[in-house]
Amino acid sequence: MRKIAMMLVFLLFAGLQVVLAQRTITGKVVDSQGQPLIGVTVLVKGTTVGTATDVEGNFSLQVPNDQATLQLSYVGYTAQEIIVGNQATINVTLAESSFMMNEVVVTALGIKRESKSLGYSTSTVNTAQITEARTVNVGNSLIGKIAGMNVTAPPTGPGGSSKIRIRGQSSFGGNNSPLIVVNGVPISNNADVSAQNADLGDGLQSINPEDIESMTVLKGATAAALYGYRAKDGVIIITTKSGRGQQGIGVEVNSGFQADQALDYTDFQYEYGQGESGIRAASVADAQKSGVWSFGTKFDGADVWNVDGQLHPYVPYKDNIKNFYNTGLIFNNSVALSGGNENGGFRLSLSNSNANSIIPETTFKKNIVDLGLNYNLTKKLSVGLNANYSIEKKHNPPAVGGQDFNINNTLYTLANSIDQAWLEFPYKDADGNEQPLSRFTNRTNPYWTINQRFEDHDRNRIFGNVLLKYEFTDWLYIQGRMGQDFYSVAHDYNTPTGTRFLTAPASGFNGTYYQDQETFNERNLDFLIGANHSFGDIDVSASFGGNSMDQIGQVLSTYVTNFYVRDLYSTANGQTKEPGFSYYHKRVNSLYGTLDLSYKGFLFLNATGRNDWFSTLNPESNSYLYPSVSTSFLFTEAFASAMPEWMNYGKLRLAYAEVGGDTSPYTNQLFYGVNTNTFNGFALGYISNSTSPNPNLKPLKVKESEIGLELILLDRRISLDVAGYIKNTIDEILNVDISQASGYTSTKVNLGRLKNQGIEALLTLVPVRNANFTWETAFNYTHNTSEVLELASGQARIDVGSGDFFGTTSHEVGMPLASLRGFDYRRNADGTIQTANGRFLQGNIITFGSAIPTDIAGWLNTLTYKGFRLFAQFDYKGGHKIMSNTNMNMLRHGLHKMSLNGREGGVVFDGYNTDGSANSVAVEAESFYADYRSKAVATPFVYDGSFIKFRTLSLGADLSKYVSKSFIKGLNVNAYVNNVALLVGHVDNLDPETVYATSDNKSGLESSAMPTTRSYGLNLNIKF
Amino acid sequence: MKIKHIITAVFALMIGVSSCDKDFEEINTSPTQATTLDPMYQLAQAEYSSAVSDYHYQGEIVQNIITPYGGVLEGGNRNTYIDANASAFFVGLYTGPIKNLIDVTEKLKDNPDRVNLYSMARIWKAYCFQFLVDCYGDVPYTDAGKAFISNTFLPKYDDQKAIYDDIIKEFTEATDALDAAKDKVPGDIFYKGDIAKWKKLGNSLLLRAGMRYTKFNSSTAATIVAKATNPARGGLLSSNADNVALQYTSAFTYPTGSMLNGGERHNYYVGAPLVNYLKLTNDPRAAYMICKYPIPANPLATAGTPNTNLADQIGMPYGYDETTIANAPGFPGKIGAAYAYSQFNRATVAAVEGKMYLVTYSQTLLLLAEARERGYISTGTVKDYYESGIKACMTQQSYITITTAQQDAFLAGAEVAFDPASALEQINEQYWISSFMIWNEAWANFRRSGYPALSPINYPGEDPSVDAGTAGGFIHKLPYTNREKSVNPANVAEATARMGGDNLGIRVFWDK
Repeated sequence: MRKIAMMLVFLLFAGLQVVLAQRTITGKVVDSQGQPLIGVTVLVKGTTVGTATDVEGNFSLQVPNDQATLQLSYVGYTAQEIIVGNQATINVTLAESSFMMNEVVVTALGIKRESKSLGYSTSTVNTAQITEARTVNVGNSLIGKIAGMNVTAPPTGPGGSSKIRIRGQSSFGGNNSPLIVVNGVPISNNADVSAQNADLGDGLQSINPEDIESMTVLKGATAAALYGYRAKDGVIIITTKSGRGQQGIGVEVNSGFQADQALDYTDFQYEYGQGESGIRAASVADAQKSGVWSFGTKFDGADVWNVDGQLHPYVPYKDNIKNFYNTGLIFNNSVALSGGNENGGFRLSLSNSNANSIIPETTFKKNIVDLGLNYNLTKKLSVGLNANYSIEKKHNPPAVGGQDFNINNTLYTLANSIDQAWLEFPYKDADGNEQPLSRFTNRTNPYWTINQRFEDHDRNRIFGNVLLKYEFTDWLYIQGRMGQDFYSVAHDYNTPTGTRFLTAPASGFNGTYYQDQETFNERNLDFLIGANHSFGDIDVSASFGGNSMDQIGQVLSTYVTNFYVRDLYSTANGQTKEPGFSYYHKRVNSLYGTLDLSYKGFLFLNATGRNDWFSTLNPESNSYLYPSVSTSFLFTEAFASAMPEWMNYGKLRLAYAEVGGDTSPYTNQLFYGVNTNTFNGFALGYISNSTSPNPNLKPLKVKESEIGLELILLDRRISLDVAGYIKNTIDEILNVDISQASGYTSTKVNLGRLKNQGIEALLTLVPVRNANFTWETAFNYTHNTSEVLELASGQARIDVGSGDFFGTTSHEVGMPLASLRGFDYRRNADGTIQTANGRFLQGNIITFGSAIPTDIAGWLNTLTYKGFRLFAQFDYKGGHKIMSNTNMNMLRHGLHKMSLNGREGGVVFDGYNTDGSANSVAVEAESFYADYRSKAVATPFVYDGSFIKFRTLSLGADLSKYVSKSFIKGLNVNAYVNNVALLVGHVDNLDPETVYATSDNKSGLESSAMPTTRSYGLNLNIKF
Repeated sequence: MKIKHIITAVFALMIGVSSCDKDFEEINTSPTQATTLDPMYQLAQAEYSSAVSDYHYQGEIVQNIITPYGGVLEGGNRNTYIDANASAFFVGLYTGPIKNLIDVTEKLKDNPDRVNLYSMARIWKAYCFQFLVDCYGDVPYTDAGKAFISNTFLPKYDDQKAIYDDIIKEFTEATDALDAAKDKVPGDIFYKGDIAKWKKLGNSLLLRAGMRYTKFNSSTAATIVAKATNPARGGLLSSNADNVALQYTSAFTYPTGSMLNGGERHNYYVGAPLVNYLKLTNDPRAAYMICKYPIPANPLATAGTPNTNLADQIGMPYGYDETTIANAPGFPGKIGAAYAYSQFNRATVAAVEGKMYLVTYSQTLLLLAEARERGYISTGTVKDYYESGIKACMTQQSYITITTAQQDAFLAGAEVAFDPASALEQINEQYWISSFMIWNEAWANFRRSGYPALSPINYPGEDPSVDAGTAGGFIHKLPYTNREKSVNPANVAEATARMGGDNLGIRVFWDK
């Protein structure tokens, strides 16, 4: 303990000591044509002290003494070593080498490997792109950037989640998001949704983008195989900055500002105003009954009673969306202090994000402290420590989907002759209750929601790990690591007293209040022994390790209904109290090993094996082995003499792996519960499970084969990375719907099979590259198709989620995943729509198509001119459908343009009666369109979900040279616009990216999310 | 640094990991969830959860309650099929009481020490299945509730007559097996385990089941009724103290009452046929059932003093929607967002903490009146049963104060005074009133007896099946749930074929 304390003290002073003892050398690095090379790594050999060249190829570095040797390395160039001697300036020309030879990639378990040896696909994220055009959740900045990755930003506000899927949806379950590994240890990335339909965010939001040093995406099963049961969806590996390679003390300040503006895609009818059945309000009471119906009379400008009790001219109000939603303001500030010497480094960063949503009174604040330390205690023993502490406070995360308290739901159905501002004064009546605006009590007055309802979700989280590594010799090391991800959440929300849909209690006041305290703890212990050795032309490296993962989650909650004292939301004040406690514990132990062989540096063979033991499974069969094998062949090296000159680099990859999925604890038993309150003194006991338990479950397995090709041509002007894969999921654990007459709604079985296959490609072109100007243009493309191969015996489909008003997401044998299904019109034998008394009828449930895009593409352009950098991104998703519940509401409430048909004289629907005669009966318009709700016919509300977006435009300037004579080492400014324009879209009245749910069980089911936003941002980065 | 210590620690960790499934069974045992429970508590839950809210179809079909609106409120008010409302009974009963009662009966069937609990569970399980058959016809019975017990995930649908046969056997056997000398069941909500009362309930349910056969097979009805009324078997419900009812509380609110006091309070009204009948008979119960609020859209506290004067009441007629209702004869206009029709009294019959009746003494007496009229029993007089049945209803709620004189005056009224020539009509009209807010029973009795003589609602957009065949403009059966058609299609298809269809116009077996 004393030694550790001494070490820490030493570390604190290390940076300062070193500064005093050293001298500075400067230099410039150029290529064979004399062009400056930007970003060349310059390291003092044998230490972690280093730097990188700037935009003009210059570097400046402190060296301990004249004996020091500088190592210069750069992708695609032959590394060089130079002894410093007494030189003060060192200019270096690097020779171009075979390309990609020395690029190092962080792979599973944090093992760094040379890119050329990998037999599987990985993508490295350009961290500049994610810090320059920022998103509050770092996951959302990955949209359109990585081939094989489908990222969606649900429109749920600044504290919301990011939905990331790699290579399709790997299981029928709702959560198929990749594993997030930070500094070698997995962290939780659970996306939580509150009982009030608010998106409570995910695990990625605890990470400050400024702290990210590198981000690698392991896309296939082979890349991820060492994570065994957690690898089915790929892995995102994040390494945070730790001051490694830093010399002396550095301070970096980053300050960003962003303004979010709600986008309004509505194209409503503005011919008829508020009212029902062709009649407009004749009294205040009428107005307060029909506030969400635009089935009144033609606009005539006459004074008409309205919801606020006033007379207003009967004219359209077209800007309710624009006027209701605020400009969301987001401030990001961070400061990082880093330092180091030849033995180690540290970095400490503090960041603060303060986001005000476009919805008033909705905020998200996060403060993050990130600490990275690494130190060589002796020549052989090194220690590393990373810790990330975040305080995330969400205030009033808005309800999305559903009806009650969903502000968007009310605004998107509000009659077109009401100015939304009238809802505010007054939003409550003299008794303090919600002022009515509609006979639909579920259309809560948005100002009531803003001012009376609250929800707070405060998370304190710390994750990180400590690593000890001991190198016995230069070919053998051992390391041990302990990682921890712990968070606690304080969460509460109310249903305010006086909300219209509530029932009055016999005494006291109505309303509810819920409060919970949640803790989550995941502990990972692991060790790894690695060795490498050469036998002639063959290099062998092998490692062996193990991991023990232990996870405990608990939630202590109280829910109270009705109050004694008005407007006091506390559990003590509740009339009826329901306490709850939930707890789970699971553990997975694992052993794994790797074996890597390379032959003459051009043929590589890698094999891994991992065995997992699960606490959640039947003890008779709780052990599973996950193998992988991959090979990489550098044909440009193997046949170097035969290669044409323009062929810089060529590699062929082949890989196969089997990985798994997880199971939940306690799924094997029937449990009983007793109601927390007695019924007049009688205890009510029941079977708790609604899913019939199955004690014989095993984890699902994903088998994936992958082939890939990497080419670099024409002096790096063209590079291509293309991969094809087939991913089969077997032994799916299915929550199979069973007959409710069995007493249960579902059971779990191990039967499902599904297949994803696709190709992903990244083509990077550099059409212009000279001393001052470079244009790099990159196309990424993903094509993924899925097919459900088998469900439980004889079952043709399972429904996994349903829309708020109609439609389901289902998986059907022989079809792609996530079929959107719903009722069609009832049809006659010849396919015409059947009518009875002028009305359509409910027909069969049919499949409209899959909710999952088959094609995703991104086009990323980077133009650099001297110190300026312009980035523009366009992206596309296509091949999928959206079922729009909101458009159904817009139609039945009389806003949708389709509702203009039949306003005068009724709708004579284009249908045929059973006797073959054409329908001639007119049905009053509002009554006719209301049938879409009651008969749940989905057909008119299914849209092609494809779109093309101008996603990002950013302009950055490196102004360092203007300040280089001051104490400021670097100055960068950056301005950006996110979500610049929707270029092509097919959904009426809405942005096609408006589907809010992060769960795959609700794919494609659109329902009253927040409007999407365009963000304008400005970012300033200063290095001292 | 003590490098050796570090290496030792790393190897200790390795060894820790390599005992790879140590303590796993303990870890996978939930410390907070019960794996056993006294089945008595499940009986209580089954009793509680069997009180399903039945206003959407049943209450509307018997023309007691109405909303002019469609959408989520649609159902019996428009003679259309809305899955969410029609499936509520199937879902509610199978996944609630039946699931638990089958767990109880399977556990206790060979346990002589808990014969009383077992018998109560059998009786109440049979009650639930009778409810289901009366709604849907053929339903899963022998396979039901057994997903966990025998991995029966897709139960077959049994023939409804066979289910009734077994229900009758269950009522009989379980009632006879009840024994006051055996186990105590203090957790029973209905009677706190009073065995004599349970025997009366078993017999009264048997009487009710037997009377269902009057149209289908009168001799079967007579046989069953004879068994139910055999005094040696324990007798029938004999006072209002024997009624089966749930007294709701602030924590467990009356679903129908909550709806009528909550967000739908200004959307529901009293059906015109009920109001007209109450006026016709000048029924003193009306003051406790229906009223007009000055501000119907407001919560009870601010809705104003209700007008309970019977002469002022106006029921909403059937066959209209929210638009066409304005053209209905005698349209009384609107009060704010609401219509000026009579509503349910939210402080009495529709109180949030009100009482929901499931089986009553009054109903039992009226059934006896009909049984006597039909000659199934030979004791007592039809008139006595009939009049006692009405009086029992008039005194069953504590908030009702109808004096004996008022009762007698009512019984002497022109329409009510017992007339042997129209005994069946009078008895079943009063059964309709006694079954106010026990609507599933009212619907079954209406289909069986044909009384009261309600007119078809003839809603312009009604489902064609209610006018097909012999349906006569009324809903006779609720279709199977969409979920069941999707999940359990083969068994649904088999049952549909057996019944000759699955729509609103199909009759259950005793309705033929």
